[in-house]
Amino acid sequence: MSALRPLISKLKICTFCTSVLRQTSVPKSTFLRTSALLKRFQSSSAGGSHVEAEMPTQFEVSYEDFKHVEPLLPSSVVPPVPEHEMYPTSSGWFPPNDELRSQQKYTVLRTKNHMLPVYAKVQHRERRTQHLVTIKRIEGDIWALEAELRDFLEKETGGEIIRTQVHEVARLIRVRGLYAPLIADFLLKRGM
Amino acid sequence: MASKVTERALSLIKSLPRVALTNIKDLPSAKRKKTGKPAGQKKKGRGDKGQGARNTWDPLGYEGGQSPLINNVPLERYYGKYALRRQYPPISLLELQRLIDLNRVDISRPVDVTAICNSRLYSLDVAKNHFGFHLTEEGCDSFDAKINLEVQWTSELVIAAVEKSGGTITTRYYDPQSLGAVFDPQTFFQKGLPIPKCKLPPQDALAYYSDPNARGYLADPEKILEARERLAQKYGYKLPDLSSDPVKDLLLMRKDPLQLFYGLEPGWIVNLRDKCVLKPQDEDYRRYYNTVY
Repeated sequence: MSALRPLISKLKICTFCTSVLRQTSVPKSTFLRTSALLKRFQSSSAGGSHVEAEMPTQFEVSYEDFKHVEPLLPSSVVPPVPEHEMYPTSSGWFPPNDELRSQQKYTVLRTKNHMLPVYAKVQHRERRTQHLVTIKRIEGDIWALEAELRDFLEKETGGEIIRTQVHEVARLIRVRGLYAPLIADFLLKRGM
Repeated sequence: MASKVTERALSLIKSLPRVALTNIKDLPSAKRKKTGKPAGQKKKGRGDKGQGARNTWDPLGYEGGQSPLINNVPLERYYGKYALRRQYPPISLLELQRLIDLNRVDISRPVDVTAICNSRLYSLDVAKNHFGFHLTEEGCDSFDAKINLEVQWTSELVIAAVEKSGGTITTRYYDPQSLGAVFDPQTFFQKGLPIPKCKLPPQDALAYYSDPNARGYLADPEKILEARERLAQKYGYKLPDLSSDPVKDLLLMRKDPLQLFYGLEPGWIVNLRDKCVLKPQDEDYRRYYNTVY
């Protein structure tokens, strides 16, 4: 038994060679490699070694049953959004309004997942917690967006000081505070 | 011309590996041998007398006789046995509805862990003791998808919300090895391993998964039908008739307790390259994969 161990680990013997596995009491599922198995099976028919000849490789190959596998594989692209009868949908989603969006000096594009690129972040600093909201994928006049957004937030919050940061190169705006829902509301009202 | 010795040395250097930080070390003469005991040292740097010199420190947490902190602070068992507990990461009904609205989940097939994780927006980690999804109540009022749902943990309200909109729901246990296959089938199939058989739930979860009120997968189907009606009466909605439903077959699709994927049996091997399924015929092998232990 101990003499067979190194041999088995070297050859990666599959579960089908039950006779060998029974001798060594190796867990069945550990050594299974389909393609390696097929290769060895082919070579054994052309006169393989002692170990290869011992494998009881009886299995049925079914091409039809692969239809059950196909729906289990993930799609490599994000699927397009289906047309809904009415908006917002049950989960509150609606598509960007192109007509309204074209009237603005700026555009905030949706992400590949059809959502707004508004990201809330919590940063744990020493003895304080910072809340930060980042708006990404901005096109057009970023300063106009910042000015309008600041006005909107000041009005909504009743004169709070709104601290913003404009990053012209990365085309993003950061806003201090827990304003993600308000900012999303602002962007949706402008058709983004 | 250089001497023979020099030439030989040069040719040797050419054949030898390049001198680098990884393969140089000190000359043997560079290390000074340590003497046993420095001359004139008696106390070994531990000071004169006391606990330090004699290595008789107080036990950890001892506060010189007064009640120590560990005895004064009450026990907090919220995180007791945290490492051993089963974790069910949450996904809310609202999030599920959003997945359905944006076509990230196909509702013409049963929705389970595989379908949710294949959206690539949610994932599970077996190493973190994840045992599946906990479907939470947020968005239960606006949920209106008619689906065959399979999750790992829910509450009564969620069950009511799903059944009110005409769907069915099952709670299903996956052991860690099976969950590893179920939440990312593509990676699993690429390994070429046989599809594992699902184990039965552990003792402390067995009651939940065989409870018709929780729509457990081990519960009696007839008792589940009774529980559906009882819940509809409790929450005051009209239960849609399943027997005359056009998608009745979809809504009543269930996996075998040993089965992980619809249409595929435990023990089979999927070959993604050749697009085929291998079904071993060995008797011992089949007996192992088709019996509950």
